[in-house]
Amino acid sequence: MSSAALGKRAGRPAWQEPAKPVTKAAKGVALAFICLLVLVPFLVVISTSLASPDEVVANGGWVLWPEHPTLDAYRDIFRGGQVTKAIGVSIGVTLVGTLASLVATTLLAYALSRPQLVGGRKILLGILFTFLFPPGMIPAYLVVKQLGLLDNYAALIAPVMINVFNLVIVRGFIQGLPEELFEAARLDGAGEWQVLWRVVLPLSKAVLAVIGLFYAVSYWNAWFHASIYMSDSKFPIQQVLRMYVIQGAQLADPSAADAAAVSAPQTVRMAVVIIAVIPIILVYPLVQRFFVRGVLTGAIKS
Amino acid sequence: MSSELSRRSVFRAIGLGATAVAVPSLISACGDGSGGGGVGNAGTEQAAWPTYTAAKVPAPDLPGDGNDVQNGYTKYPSQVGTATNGKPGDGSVVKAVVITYGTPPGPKETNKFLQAVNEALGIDLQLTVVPDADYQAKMATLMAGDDLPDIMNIGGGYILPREADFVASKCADLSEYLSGDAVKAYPNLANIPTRAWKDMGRVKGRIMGVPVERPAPGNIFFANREMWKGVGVDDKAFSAGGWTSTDLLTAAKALTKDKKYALGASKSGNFGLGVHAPAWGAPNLWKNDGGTFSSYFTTPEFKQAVAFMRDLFAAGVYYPDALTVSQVDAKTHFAGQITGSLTDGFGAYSQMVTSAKGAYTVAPALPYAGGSAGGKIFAARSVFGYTVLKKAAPERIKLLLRVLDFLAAPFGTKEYELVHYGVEGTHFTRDAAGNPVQTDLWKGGENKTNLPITYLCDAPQVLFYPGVSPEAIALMHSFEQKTAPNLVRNPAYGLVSDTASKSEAAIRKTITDVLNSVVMGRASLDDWDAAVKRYKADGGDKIGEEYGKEYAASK
Amino acid sequence: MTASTIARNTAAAGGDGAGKKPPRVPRDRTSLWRKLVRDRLLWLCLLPGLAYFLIFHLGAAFGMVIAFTDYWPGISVAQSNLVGVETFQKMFGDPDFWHAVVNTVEISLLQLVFYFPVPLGLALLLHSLTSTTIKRLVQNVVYLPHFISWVIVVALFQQILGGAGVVNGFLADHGLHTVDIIGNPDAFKPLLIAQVIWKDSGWGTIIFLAALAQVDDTLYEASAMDGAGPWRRFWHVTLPGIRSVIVLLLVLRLGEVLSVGFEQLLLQRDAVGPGAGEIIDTYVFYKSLGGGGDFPLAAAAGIFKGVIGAILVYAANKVAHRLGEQGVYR
Repeated sequence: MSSAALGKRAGRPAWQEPAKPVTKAAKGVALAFICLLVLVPFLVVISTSLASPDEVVANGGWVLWPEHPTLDAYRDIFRGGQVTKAIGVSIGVTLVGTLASLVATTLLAYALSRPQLVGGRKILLGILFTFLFPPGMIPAYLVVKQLGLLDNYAALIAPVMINVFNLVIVRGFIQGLPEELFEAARLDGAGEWQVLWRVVLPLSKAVLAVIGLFYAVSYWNAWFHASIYMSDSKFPIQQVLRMYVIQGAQLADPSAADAAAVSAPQTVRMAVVIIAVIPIILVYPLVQRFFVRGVLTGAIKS
Repeated sequence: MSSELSRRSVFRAIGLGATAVAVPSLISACGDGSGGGGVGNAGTEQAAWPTYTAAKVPAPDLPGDGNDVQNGYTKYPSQVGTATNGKPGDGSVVKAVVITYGTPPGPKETNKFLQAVNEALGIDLQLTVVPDADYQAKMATLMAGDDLPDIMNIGGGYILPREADFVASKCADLSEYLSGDAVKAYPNLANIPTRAWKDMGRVKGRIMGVPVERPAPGNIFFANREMWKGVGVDDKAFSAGGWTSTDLLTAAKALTKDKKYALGASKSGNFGLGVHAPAWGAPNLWKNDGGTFSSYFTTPEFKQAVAFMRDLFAAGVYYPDALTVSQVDAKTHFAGQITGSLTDGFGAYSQMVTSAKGAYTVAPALPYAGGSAGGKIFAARSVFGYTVLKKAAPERIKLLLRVLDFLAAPFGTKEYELVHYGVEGTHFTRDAAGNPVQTDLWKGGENKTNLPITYLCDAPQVLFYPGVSPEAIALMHSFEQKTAPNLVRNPAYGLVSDTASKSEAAIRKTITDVLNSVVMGRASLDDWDAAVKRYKADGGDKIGEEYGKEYAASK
Repeated sequence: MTASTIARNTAAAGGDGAGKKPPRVPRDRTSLWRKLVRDRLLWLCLLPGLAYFLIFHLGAAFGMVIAFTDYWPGISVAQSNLVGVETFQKMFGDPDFWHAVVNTVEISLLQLVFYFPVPLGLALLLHSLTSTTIKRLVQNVVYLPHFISWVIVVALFQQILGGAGVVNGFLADHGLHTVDIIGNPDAFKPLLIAQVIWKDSGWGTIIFLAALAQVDDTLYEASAMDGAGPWRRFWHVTLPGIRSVIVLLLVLRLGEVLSVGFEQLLLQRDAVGPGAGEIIDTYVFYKSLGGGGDFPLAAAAGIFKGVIGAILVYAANKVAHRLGEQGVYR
């Protein structure tokens, strides 16, 4: 354990031999190439959002590097206050939703992972069934409506509270914890709650961080339920973003649809894309610190 | 399926689940079942169309013909009148659902436009805007949820699943309020031209909605006039007329070079089909040959148009990736002079002129002649859509109709000014000539694009756009005059066909896919013939038959 | 993850990673009631999640009965008439449906072969880096595209690879042959895969990185002391450490083998036509929500997809057990 801890600080564990220069160079080139592939298109989106509308139009819609950078597009977006509110809605839904999902998923996964639970396997199979046969749009809508959740922020959380994929992963993880730990805890006189609190949760920090990230991102990125269950004053940012970005893009029939309706300029559309990305990418570094080596090793040994 | 198997056995079949799924509609679980009875007009008594009574409007400097040519105003009228007596509402809440092409309007508390409209209407309007892209999903759930708003517009070019069935069973019958002279109680609704009512159509012989009127021209070949002038087709294409498909092809080839393309294209534009089909003399969606209806897909003229589009594509004059580009991006290409033309709805003109910023002239090209009988343009459906009301007591219906009447107040009235330009001093100011000039607040989002109340009901449209030059208005007016004799109407608008409402969208998609393949050279013209055969067999013929019966009944 | 820890245990036990059954409690003869009382806290834990599935999934799953009726959204299910398996007959009798199935399966398999390994490889590459700073930096970069919506991704690809795009502009300027990618049915499926790789590879690394992070360091240490070089450590420690998570992801992916990026396809299908671009979900869309209004068909297709998915999950899970893995359930 000490060597792992030391190694982490040094960047390279003691047992690992130094990398050959050739390998290093090859990895460097590969990573640089990958980053470039990702970043250039991203840069185009950012540049376009900073360019003047005339420059964008003259370039056919996209700008690689704005000649006269301006924040006008961003100013336009924040002027009405709707985008600010939508970001607030999304942050709220993401925070509350992630918390609710984590709690519900962990509890369920824990219960289903305990072998003594009567009927646990049947319940798990039932849940897998729902994963394979997701509800159709209209039945799901009717359920939400009957619960009185229409136009209620809960409608953005409750119908997607537990993701089967995440559940299966957490369950598998808990199941994989050494049985001796549970027995040891029980011998100490711990009940199920204490086992959960004092043994399972501390050891599951990493998996919960990852699942939490998955939930947070899916809450953040979701728009479909908002489009069906919510009215426009309660739209989250992704739905507002869609209204900026794809309005008018897929007209049913240009002559029948109102062709006079003005779509947002490209600069504004790209600015919204950037605005919608920024809050959520700030979450990742928080999760990243769980990806260091030996998190579990140390925990189990102590 | 036989009716013994109906309700009760379904209940048994789904057991407990029915309570979860079916309860919302149980209250209304009466006779109107699954719409098997048909919603056509054949065999019903037809409610008379509302009597047209022209409203008093300011004298236009470019007069229309009351039908296919709109009134044009090169400047805003100096005096505006009023078109309603008092507030239509009683302060109650009115819920409305409407499509939007904009962004969210913002809450009532801060939206001065909505506040002013509410004040003038005397209601508390709770408007739910449905983004264009979500329209079909949202409307389907709304229909299924059986929780309709007071006012709802069905439009935007979308067809809802079993639309006529739905309207017939769930919406208020407005015949007694609007049919014949009854409409005179709502003078602004009486000012909506009869062609709009007819294109909306009746359901089971009844008037079920109020149309949102649109002018006659359908898809227009908008061109960058200077670019086409440069390749020698100026006079023929834009003023005198008389250009042919050969002229178009030659000019387009000459124009396409140095990363510029003669023809803009987008996913929803289908290679400009709406322009090319009538230019070759094809009927507008349906052909009525003495009471026998056939789809335009089945006509030889249509096939000629397809062959020509194929030639255009082979010549490389379309913007590449035509079917990947969105209409919004196609507009950007046109504005940036990367493409020399773009097919779009007539209403797009004012926006295109504004986007051009005077760098070039946006001009609607006159139809070219393809083949012998060509040179026509399609008339648009005379409505953007129509507005239906939730079933309610007569007093409530009358209130809602008064609200729609207010929104339909014609150009040159205070009501129109409020609905279209907002509050003077807040949303618009006036220039020296008295024309409204939009303020930053309006341009910044507090406007009728984002608060699309004009899709609930609207005045008959006129040629006047704030910020658009008198020359551009005159150009559009003269275009309407020149093309009015060449308008091809769709004889099936306003007719109801059960088969069409169930399966037309799907079979149209199938044949359009083949059309795209043929144009792009991936399939042959023989494949087109096969696709037509399939279209007919899959329901095209049956729809034609049903239209024929409907047509006979509506005469 | 399931996965890494199971593997860690087994690796610690002998390194073969095979054959470990889940721990079983000794058979007890306690009565059912006593068991329920004994496990009351577990049942309490189970409650919120179970309620969620009962309300939002099972309740709504009954909506699938509309596949056997002539339901449309203006009426309730109770008002609709039973039509038996008519809808299924119509669907299975339609050659277009089978084209869509074939396309869907093809795209799914291509993704499995060409996309699935990419995040894994990228994760291994990142994992092998010694500099924590670079590792974190690259991670932060590569997962960005996951947040760009499909509309923008499609437009960006068209801008780069399209007929008027950057690549073809460059080729044309230098008198070279241009390439026909966007809107070319033959290039369509590789294009789809490339888009998915660009958009989601970085995102896909997260789960592997988390699994890799939990491989017991003492195993590496021990292995290194035994004289194993980097490759041997990779084969004998790293891979077994994440094998279970790979299996788990594969099994779950198989359950959704008939669902491939609906939004991505809907945006690009028209450009190549249904021959190359129709998948089950778009086929259903045009027949139901997209104007056709045939909601029973949508439900029938959902049942079809679910049944195929269930068979595949069942089979894959069995195979996983044979290989000594836990799979999704046991």
